[in-house]
Amino acid sequence: MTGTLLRKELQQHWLAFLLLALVTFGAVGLISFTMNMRGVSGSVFMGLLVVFWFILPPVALLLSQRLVALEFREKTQLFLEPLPLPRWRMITIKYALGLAVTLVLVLGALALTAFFGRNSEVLTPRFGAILAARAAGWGWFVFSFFFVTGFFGRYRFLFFLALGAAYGLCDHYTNFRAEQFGPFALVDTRFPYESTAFPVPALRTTGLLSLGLVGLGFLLGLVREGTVGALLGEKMSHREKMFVTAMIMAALITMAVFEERKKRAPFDLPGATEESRGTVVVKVGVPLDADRRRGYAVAARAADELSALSEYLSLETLPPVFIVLRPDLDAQHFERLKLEETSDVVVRANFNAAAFVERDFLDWLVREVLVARSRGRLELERKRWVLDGFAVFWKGHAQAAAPLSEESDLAARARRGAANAFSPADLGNWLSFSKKVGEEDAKGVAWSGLRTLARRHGTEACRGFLRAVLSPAVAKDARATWHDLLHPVTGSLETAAGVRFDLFFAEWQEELAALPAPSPAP
Amino acid sequence: MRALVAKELRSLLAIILFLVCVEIIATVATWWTEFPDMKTLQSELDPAKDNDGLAAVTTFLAVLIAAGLLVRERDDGTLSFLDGLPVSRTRVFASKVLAALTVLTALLFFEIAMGAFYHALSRTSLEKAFPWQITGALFGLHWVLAFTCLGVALALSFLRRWLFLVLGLLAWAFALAKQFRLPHLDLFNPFALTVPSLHEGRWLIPTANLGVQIALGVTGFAVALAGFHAMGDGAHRFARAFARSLWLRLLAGVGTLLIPVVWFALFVRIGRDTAAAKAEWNPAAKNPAVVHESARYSFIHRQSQEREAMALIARADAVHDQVTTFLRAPVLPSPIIVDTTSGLARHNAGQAYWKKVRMLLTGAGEEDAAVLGHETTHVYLDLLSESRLGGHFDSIRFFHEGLASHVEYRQFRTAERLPKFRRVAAVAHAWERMSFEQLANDAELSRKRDRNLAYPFGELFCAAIENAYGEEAFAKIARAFARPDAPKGLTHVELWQDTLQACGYSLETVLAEWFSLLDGLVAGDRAFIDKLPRVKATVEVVEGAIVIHPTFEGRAPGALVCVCRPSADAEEYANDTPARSADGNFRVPRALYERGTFWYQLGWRVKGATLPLLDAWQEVSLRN
Repeated sequence: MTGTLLRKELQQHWLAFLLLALVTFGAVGLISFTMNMRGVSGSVFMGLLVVFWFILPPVALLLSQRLVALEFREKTQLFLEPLPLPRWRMITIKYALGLAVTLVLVLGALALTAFFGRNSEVLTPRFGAILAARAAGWGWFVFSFFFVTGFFGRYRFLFFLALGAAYGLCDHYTNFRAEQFGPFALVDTRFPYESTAFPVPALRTTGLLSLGLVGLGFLLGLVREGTVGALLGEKMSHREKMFVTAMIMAALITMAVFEERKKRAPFDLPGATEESRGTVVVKVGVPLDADRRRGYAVAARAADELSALSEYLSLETLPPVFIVLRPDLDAQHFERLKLEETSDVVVRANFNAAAFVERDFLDWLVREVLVARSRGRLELERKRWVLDGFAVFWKGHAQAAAPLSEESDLAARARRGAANAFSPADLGNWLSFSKKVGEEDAKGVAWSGLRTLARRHGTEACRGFLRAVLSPAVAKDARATWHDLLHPVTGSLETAAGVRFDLFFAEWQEELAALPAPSPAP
Repeated sequence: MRALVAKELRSLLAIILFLVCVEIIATVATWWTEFPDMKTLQSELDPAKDNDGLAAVTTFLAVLIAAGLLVRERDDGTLSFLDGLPVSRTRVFASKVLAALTVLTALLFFEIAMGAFYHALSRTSLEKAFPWQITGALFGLHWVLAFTCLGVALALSFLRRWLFLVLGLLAWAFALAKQFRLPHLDLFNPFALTVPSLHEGRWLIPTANLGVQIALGVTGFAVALAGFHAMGDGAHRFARAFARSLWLRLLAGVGTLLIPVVWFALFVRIGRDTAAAKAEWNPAAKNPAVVHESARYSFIHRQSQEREAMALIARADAVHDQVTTFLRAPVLPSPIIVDTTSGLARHNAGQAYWKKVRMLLTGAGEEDAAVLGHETTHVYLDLLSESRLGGHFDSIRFFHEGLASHVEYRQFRTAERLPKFRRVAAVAHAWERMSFEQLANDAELSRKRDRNLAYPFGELFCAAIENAYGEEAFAKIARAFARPDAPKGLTHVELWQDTLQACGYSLETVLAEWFSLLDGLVAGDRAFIDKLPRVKATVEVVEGAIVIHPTFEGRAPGALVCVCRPSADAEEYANDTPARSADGNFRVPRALYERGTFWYQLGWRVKGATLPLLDAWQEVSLRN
């Protein structure tokens, strides 16, 4: 009876088996030849590995589909059930036949590849045995997996999805590395080259896993006389399809959200000098053979400056600041290293150079810290004039109520910048305005606006306005966009400083007009 | 017709619902993890980003819909009901295609409308007008991609579950054809359509590709229509008769068995032709592969290269021990395989893999030993990192190549070679300052500059590590990549910062030393650099060829070199290095460059430098 059943399976699926052989062996030739032509693969077995990764799983899926799932879906198992043969033997025959076909394909592909590689590989018996063990182990696992999922019938794709989601979560939350695990380790990138060491732990894990899968397959096929398998094999109803879609949605939500919320290790500078003032932390890194004294002083003054900034703008937290000595940079050139997913501020400067101007560096640093704290949002055009103005305003903020002309250089820049029909629209189109008048003159204009506010309405009103624009803590999501749209700079002026924008702009124009006539830009 | 389309849309409801869910999730994820007002279209289409997601989703969906659209009627037994309706099969087919295209169009419309919405929130006053042309091209080209994929997948959908296997094989066949650099091949690549080709604020539409893709799609639909007409009891009866007829089964079996034989014969034939072109490698000329072993290596070489191989084998173990001593690496218990019989990627003297090296034997003792030392360093770096370095290839290539070069030039070459090697970095740095961010991002480096700069700049980076932390740092760093608590997902600068931090080192200290070395080199080589003219060029298309007219001021310091590529992310094998013609120009066939733009790189091959001194890549439009 076993022979009859075997003949029945062969008669039913012979064409499929032949086609699978054609596809597999054809793919081996095609892929090996392609990779060899490119000259980047170090072994003919690399092509075989690609076949194992991408061709063998669909081949095994098709095999299990024909041997198991189709039988239940077409209800042809009903013809087998009256036969004088125990159910377990039927399943064993199907499993053994499928596994034999898989192993023939896998080992046949290996033999074909070895023949191609006879002139470029050192084909020792041990190497051959290792390759065969890896290939057979992988083939056994892949077929067993799809054999079991064949019993899941209509739910198998949901099962695949659940596995995918589980893998995604493990990948994200644990240090689990799939490529080092059991069956996957058998076909890692070492497969074509490892000629001496048998991957014993991986083979053991694969064997146990495959046996477990076989057991599960038999359980599903035998429990309640196979009715579970038969029920699962039915076609999905519309309601079930909707349920599956909802499950897919849930899995996708979970994965998408978790995928985007990755955490990274905090930045640090080993061996750096640290200065802290309350919540402000500044670290300075200096190369081993460089003079460290200037670094200590810079760290202390940066910490003082940021502490004062924090108090002035009522900032609850500031990102840690790391200052690195870079002797290759010009003394007046400062760099910020932009790190993803962190607002830590890492800056590079040549503070040991004779031409280094500490005040310029600190002004630049203050701006960079504010930008980093806002995750770049202060550089958006709608707020940019306030940021540009504040970067210049900050160093003289203690004398904010003094006449603008006392700062002759800035006043000249402001007057020059505003000379060409400066209008409220220019604040909204600040980048175009900066491009038109030049960045330095635009900063002068912005500075004059903040000084006007302080002079006409008091330093506290100015401070309140700056807090409202520069201080809000920003979450990295659409709430920040929403907040900015609801709280435009002009609105902040009115609510935080109690000044209507049109009045403020008129006062600003008056202050600018009162400045001495500008000299041409240098 | 309307009722038929509605019925088809209802049957696609599960997919539609799935798509709605995906779009909701994508939108929520964007709003939850990004700033919608900091996403311009240009930033989303930046080649540095993975921007082929929409093309992939469109293709996947088109194939998914096509897989069941026609054949499901037969498989579910509903075809007879449709035949009973007073409509032709052509109308049924048209309604199905219309429904499928409606779903795909809706997907694209939503995706691109959201992109345009984010752009509207993000644009600044510097942008004078909304980029309607880019938005339109983005939509139109993706729509054609969807149309073509749907047509082709429908034509193949009668293969049922074999469809995906056949599509996979078609993809590999296409990849093989690419290796042969077949002319006009890109026209048949549907994905080439949607690769952004932005020039002066406009998307250059690849019209020829567009025409071919539409024709492919239409052909696919025609085949699918014919197949749909043939589908039914008659076809089923024929298939059953075919499966049961002994003679036909025999014929099919023999035919199927013959196909692998034909494959095999074809490969053997091609292999023989290739070997015949290299007579000394021809197995038919009694030149078989031979294996020789030393204590540390197993060499496989052609018999005709016995002398060269034996010369290298004689000093191979010493080379090995020098490398392991320098790296403080434990010696492998088994020999490293050295294959000297196989081909290598263009311009390579050797390649290394897990416990295996491929190299060419030149017969020059120092050269072969140096290459072996270089490749052995790669092998041991992979062993020390438990092959984890390979998983970060884009971020660590400069370190891998740099350390191998560092060992090669320090241990196996004469002292005067190192300055010539480092000069390549000095010139490149003087022409355009190299940043670590660029070096630690190989894809970015390859897009903008000569990819081989990873060697000298990497070597200097390793010299900086050695200066700061000593020779023992290399093994420590390689092992740090394999530490169990290494965070996953880090790349580029973050990866290096984290790895060095784990070793107790500071990346910034290394970078300070690296820049100090680079600036010292530039200062030392200033006279040489100043004498080196930078080459400009004009490009035009003349009679089926792209002609590059180079111009430079002063005397030529060596031979002018030109490298061309079809796109910024082209594989290295797709690069051309044309010879300079008598009129002083370089020419490449237009048929190999089907995109809207073309890339070239110019520079000098001089005696005083080990690699060509190439300037940055330039992109030019091929439209007049």
